This record gives sequence, C-alpha cells and structure tokens, in this order.
Amino acid sequence: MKRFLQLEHRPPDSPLARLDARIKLVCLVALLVGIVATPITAWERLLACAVVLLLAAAVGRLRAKWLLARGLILLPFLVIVAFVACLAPARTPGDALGAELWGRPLSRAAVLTGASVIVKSSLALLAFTVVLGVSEVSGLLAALSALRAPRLAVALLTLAYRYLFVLTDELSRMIIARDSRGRPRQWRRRVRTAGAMAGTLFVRAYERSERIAIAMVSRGFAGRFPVPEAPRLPAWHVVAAVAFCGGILLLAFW
Amino acid sequence: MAESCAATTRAQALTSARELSIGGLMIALGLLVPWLFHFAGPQVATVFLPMFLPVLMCGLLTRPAVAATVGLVTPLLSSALSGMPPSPLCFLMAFELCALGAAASFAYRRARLPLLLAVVVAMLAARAIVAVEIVTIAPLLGVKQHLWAYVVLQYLGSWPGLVLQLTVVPGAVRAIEKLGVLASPVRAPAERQP
Repeated sequence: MKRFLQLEHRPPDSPLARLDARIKLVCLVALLVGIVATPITAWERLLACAVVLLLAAAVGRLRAKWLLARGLILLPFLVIVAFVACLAPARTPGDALGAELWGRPLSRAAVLTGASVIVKSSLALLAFTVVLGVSEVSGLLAALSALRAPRLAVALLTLAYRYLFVLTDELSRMIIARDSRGRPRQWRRRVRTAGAMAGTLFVRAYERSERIAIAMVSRGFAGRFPVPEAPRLPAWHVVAAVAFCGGILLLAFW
Repeated sequence: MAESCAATTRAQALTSARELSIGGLMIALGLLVPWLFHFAGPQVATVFLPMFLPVLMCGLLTRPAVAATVGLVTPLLSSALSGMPPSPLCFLMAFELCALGAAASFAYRRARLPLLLAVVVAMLAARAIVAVEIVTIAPLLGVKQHLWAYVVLQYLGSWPGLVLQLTVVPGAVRAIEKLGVLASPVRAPAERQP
C-alpha cells in the first residue's frame, strides 16, 4: 500500500532532484494548464508535451518500469470514462461516424471527447508522477508554503502526509488480520468486509486524531504552524522556469 | 479575568488543533478508503463513492473553511498520488467535494439544521455545483458530457454510495458526538443572544 501511494519513494540523485521544489511546482502548474488547454485535434502539441515529460523523466533518472506501473493503475478507470464519453449522442446528423458501440451510434465529437480524456489524463498523471518522482514530499510542502499557498491547506496537507504513514500501517494490520481469517470469495461478502474495515479504520483514526490534537496543544500549538524561511532562488533557476513556462503556454495557446 | 481569557485562548487553540487534526485525518482517509474499496473490485469505488464519506464527515465535524479545503485538496492529491480520479476530471470532483464539505459544515454547524437534513442539503449543493460545472467548466477541460449522462451515471449508478452517505456518515457523527473523548463537545451549543 505504501508502494501504491509512493510513500517510501526516495528521488534518485539527479539535476532535477537538486532543483528547487518551488521551480518544479510552478513548471508543473504551467504544464498542466498547457495540457488541459490544448485541443485534442492539435495532437502534435500534445506529443511535444509528452516528449518534454519523458525527457524530464530521463534526466531525473526515473525507471521506465516505475513509470509504467503508475500508469497501469489508471487504465481501468480511463477505459470506463472513455467508454461513457463515447456513448454521448451525435449533435448533428453529419457528426455520426456510421459505427455503433453497444447499440448506440458513435459520433465524431464523442470519440474525440473520449480520446481527449484518455490522452490528457495520461499526460497529467505522467507530469504528476515525474514531479513526485524527483522530489521529496516534505520539500514540496515547504515549497507550497513559500509560494504563499493558503496556510490552512498547507497545514492540512502536512498533517495528512503524517497520517498516511500511520493509517497505512493500521490498514496493513487489518488486511493481514482479514487474510488470516480467510479472504471472502463472494462479491457481497467482500464488500461487507471492506465496509466493516473502513468503519473500524474511521473510529480508530478518529481516536488517534483526538490524541494528536491534545498533544499539539500541550506542546504549545496556538492555531498556526511555524513556517520556515525559504532560501533565495538562484537567478538561473528563475530564468529557466520562466523560459519553460513561457514555452509551454506558447505551445498551448499559439 | 486573566484566567478566563487564558482559558478561552486555550479552548480556541484546542478547537483549532482538533479541526486541523480531523481535517488532515480525513484527507488521509480520503486517499486510503477508496483504495480499500478497490479490493472488492475495480467498479466498486465508482458505485460506493468512498471519497465522499470522509469529506462529508469532515464537513459535519469541522468549520466550513477546513471542510472546503479538505474537499478541494483530497481529489487533487489522490489524482497526483494514485492517478484516481484521472485529471482533468479530478478538478471537477474537487469543486464538487469542496461544495459538499462546505455546505455540510455550514448547514450543520452554522445554520444548526438537524443532522440528516444537513447531509441532504450538502448532497444537493454538491450536485448543483456539478450541474453548473458540466455546463460551464467541463467543456473548457475537454469533457463534453451531457447532463443526462451525469444524472444516469451518478444517481442511478452510484445509489449505494448515496445510501452510505445518508446512513453511515450521520451514524458515525452521532457516535463521535456521544463519544466525547475531549472535554468540549464536537458541536458547540448555540450561543445565547444578550
């Protein structure tokens, strides 16, 4: 489970890993905006985004197997979404493709929507994966704080990151206990077991959160987390980031 | 006077710490509970809407700002960490969950509606936001889904999830309110008018 959420991932030493996390976050946002804003018919621009991301993965020394494993998680969900998108009816008679899916006529616009969801989702996931792969989560949280993200959001994310370790351990213990009792084969019993486990997790986690709140107050928490001062950015980092963001946005909106 | 002021400050700090703690916890649960449901089968998570449960619960237990932030952050973080929900759909879901959390908190803690009514109001508010999104933002993100498709998918396809939201979440909140682990109750009594 920790592997699934990449909690134990450590970025390999590379120029991208050494780059300031603030720069990486700004570039990620620009890339996401570029991907979302590019129409699916401009496939060569989306291909350029994919090439940029793959280059970044290569520079960041991320393994292809690691990237593929993350991408495969998305596959079943994408297939369902694309299937549903393709079922939308044709808006004009000339839009129909002449083919049928599940007894419903396919339209060009619906197929393009399905393709758009698949391509853009995959690229966005690749962008997130590359940035998370070459960064420490604690560094990203500090960068969010330095970029003046809302304090409440940063505080919640910091706490959530800590809780993830605690809860995954708790959940692992519950799964081992379930498996040692015998994993149910019937779909209904599996759902019931999952529901019971989720309920138990809720109650145990709530008790833990109460204890953590008391511990925070007894250690002097006064409503705000202290924010460490961010180091100055080297000038070439800023220049590189501006050039990258400008290039991506130009590619998307030109 | 000074003692009373210090006690008030301490109570405020405790409330703030508890709300942050619950908020962080609910984000973590919002990432883990859908994963747990994926054990039962790949489509189970889309039927039972497991990410909605922690956000709704957070709305009933914390102030609107915390609940709205939790709702906004959870799908985005889940999308970044696990790829589900896929981007750009995660942006649509972020606004939906933000509305769900904020409306639940506002209805239950500010407007002081009964628990079940507050849950229904929150669910309706979230659906209203999605309807607005489908008409306005979704086409910009390349998702040209029709309203009928959303209604068929979300209302008919995920009715077990809606039942869970109407039964499990109010039950859990009632249990937490009765639990009283801390000295102060989760939902503060109504202030008297002078």
